[in-house]
Amino acid sequence: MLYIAVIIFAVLLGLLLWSLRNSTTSRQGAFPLEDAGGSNLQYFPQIHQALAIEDRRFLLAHGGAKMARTVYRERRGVARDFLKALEEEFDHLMRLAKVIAVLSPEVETLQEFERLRLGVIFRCQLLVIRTRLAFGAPSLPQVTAVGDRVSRLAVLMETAMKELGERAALATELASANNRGDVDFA
Amino acid sequence: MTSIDNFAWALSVALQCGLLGILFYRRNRIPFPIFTTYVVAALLQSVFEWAIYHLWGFNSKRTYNVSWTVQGIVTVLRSLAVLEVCHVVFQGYRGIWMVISRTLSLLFVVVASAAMLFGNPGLRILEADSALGLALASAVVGLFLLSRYYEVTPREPMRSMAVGFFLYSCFVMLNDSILGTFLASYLLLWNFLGVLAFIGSLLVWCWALWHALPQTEGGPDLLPADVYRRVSPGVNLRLRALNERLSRFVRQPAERPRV
Repeated sequence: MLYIAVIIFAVLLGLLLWSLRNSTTSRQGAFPLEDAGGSNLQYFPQIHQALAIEDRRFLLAHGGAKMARTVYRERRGVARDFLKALEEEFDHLMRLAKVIAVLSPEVETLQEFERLRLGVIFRCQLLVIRTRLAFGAPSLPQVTAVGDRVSRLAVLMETAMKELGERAALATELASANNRGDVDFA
Repeated sequence: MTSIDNFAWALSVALQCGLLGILFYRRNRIPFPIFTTYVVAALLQSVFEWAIYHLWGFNSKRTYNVSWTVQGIVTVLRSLAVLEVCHVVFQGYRGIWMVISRTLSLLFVVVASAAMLFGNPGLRILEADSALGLALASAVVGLFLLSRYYEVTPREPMRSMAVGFFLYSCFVMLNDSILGTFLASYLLLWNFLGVLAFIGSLLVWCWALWHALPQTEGGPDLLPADVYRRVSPGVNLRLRALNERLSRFVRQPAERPRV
């Protein structure tokens, strides 16, 4: 039992130090919420084709093994860059969603947990894909699944933004009505 | 009890009185009423236990029962004080506070139950004390993790107060685990180290509460509706584009060609 207690203490201390250290650095490394560049999902068809089995078979048949190897290595690099960009996009959406949650007077616990779950699964899948790419294995189904995570988060975001917009609009209407004396709060 | 035990005991009482003085003088008892109650209860416990040890002896059955009952009350107050610190950290954020308070309460109950379930059944009181220490330490870590997740940086003195609770709770867990392993041979040292750990936490709290808690601005205001009206369509358009692209994406089984 003593060893378990010591291990638990070490884990908790590590988590505490990590959370304290990152609480000051995470803001500095965060990109602005207004960053509204184009979505990386527009490059999905190209990535899809670059990793497609038919494309590689064609290269192997018409360009030879050496050329196929070179092209395949380069395409894996492109896929890695794409995943990095996708991760940044996911992080951006997550941060936006968190800011909305922090500024909302009412937050749904289930939605928050759903987003947390999406984030954890997204990170795990990204790790699996990167590992597979590093070892040279194609990973199309996983890339699709990561795209799905971004999409599901986007749906959550849309709902949250709409609700917050409605609430803010209602608050403004009430405030202006109160200024005009139209609303009796008694 | 040896003279060094008595010295540690006296130092602990003096620091508790000092902390109470700071809480009242700096008016920090107003934002932290439960924490103030906890310090008062801990001070009364110190004096009360010193009295019963001298009256009934350290190894008496009556001493054992009474001191663990008092310890139980103080531990409950400590748990509430941790919850109070969490509340002060997130008091301006009504929405996420509901999520965080539920999450931390659930974490506390689950960790405490699991620790008691898998503990030594022959040492129930000790296991309960250790389990609550572990649960409180986990709740403090949960607080910092969630504050990092939501990018709400805990200000001073809440940050140091929480760290003080974490250190003391972890020490309680470790100290109880060592006592559970070595039992009688460790009993006197267990008591002495427990007092020392409490002194350490008292020093952290005294340092944290030395300055008055700055007046809060009542939390962040909601953004005006027109900002949302301007931002929302753009974000929604982008999110819809994400969905449309994804829906066009065709799943394809992976197969590696022989290169």
